[in-house]
Amino acid sequence: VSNRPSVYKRIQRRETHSPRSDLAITLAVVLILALAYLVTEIVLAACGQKALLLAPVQMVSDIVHLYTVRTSILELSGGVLVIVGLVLVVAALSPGRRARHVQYTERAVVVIDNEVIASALVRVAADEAGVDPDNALGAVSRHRVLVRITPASGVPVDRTAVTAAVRERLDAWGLQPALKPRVVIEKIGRVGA
Amino acid sequence: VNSTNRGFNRGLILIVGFVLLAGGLSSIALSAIPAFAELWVAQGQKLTGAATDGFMRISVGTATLADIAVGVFAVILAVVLILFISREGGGRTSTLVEQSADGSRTTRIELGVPRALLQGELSGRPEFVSTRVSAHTVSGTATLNVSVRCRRGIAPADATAIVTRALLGMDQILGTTIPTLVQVGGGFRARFSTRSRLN
Repeated sequence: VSNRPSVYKRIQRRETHSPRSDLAITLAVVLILALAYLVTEIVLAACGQKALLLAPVQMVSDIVHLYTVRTSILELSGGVLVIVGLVLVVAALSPGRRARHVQYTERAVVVIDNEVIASALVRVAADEAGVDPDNALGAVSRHRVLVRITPASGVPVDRTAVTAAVRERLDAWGLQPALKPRVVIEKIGRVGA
Repeated sequence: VNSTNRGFNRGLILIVGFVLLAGGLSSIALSAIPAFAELWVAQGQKLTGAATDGFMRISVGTATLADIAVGVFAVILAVVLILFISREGGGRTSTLVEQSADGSRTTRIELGVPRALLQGELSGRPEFVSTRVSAHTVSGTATLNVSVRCRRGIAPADATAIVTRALLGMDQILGTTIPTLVQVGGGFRARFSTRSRLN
């Protein structure tokens, strides 16, 4: 890894951020369809044929006299356009982080889905707490791990010990960005957990 | 790690976003602000007047010269967009190493060899549901991409260790080190695929 830092940096960045390809391709396809329709109308007009929906002349005059459309329709569609536009602008400018963490080894850069980290930590916490893994829930975000444990009724669970076990495992894995564990023991236990 | 130009992706989204924003705000302003509507109509009529004035009065069928120009521009834009879509997700390669020692002989390593070596090593592992090996060119360097899907509860460190061991074994056989990305995933298929078979 050490002898190709630029390649690995690029891989890490591209693997932990969304390329926004789905959205860009969708928009491009919609635009292509709209343009194809526009060209069709212009060609039909040039050949002196009847328009499919609106002749080019009519389109231009409709846009110029847009204010004659009923106010409610104009404002409603305007509002929808503004909202969609804002969503797109945010999508274009936000980092779009993927739910993944990175681990460097001497041989490769490893990109791990948060889901995998969560399910492994659930197992660690459940073992330490002495409950079935089905009674532990894990959620991993960018900087935090939350583990919820439902204890068996009447059997206390040592929260500090579980937290320590989870933290020890996280330290050993050395994920980037680092994760801080939080363990919650549910107040109400379950029989047979 | 494909070679998709992410700047273009975001640029297109941003431009469309701004156009929709402008359109939406204009149509709200058209209904809410009478002065804006007056200005809109006046400017619109001036523009359409200019576009059908003088030699621009020439028309083909019922389409004006301006219409034809818009049509040509639309075709060009559509072609650019089709090229844009076709460029998405590229950068795959099948040749990982191409080295010539003395200028007359070259050594080539194709993707098939590392793929066979790694698949042979990893596909039998009970920790993984599936393994995929591909290769991409990242900033001019051929890189290997090993993607494994883990069963539930497998520690990431264990998955990494297994793949690393397989990679180091491969390095020994190939006699060279190829930069590698390992993807460790879980997910739906891992959860619902059969764990073992009892007879």
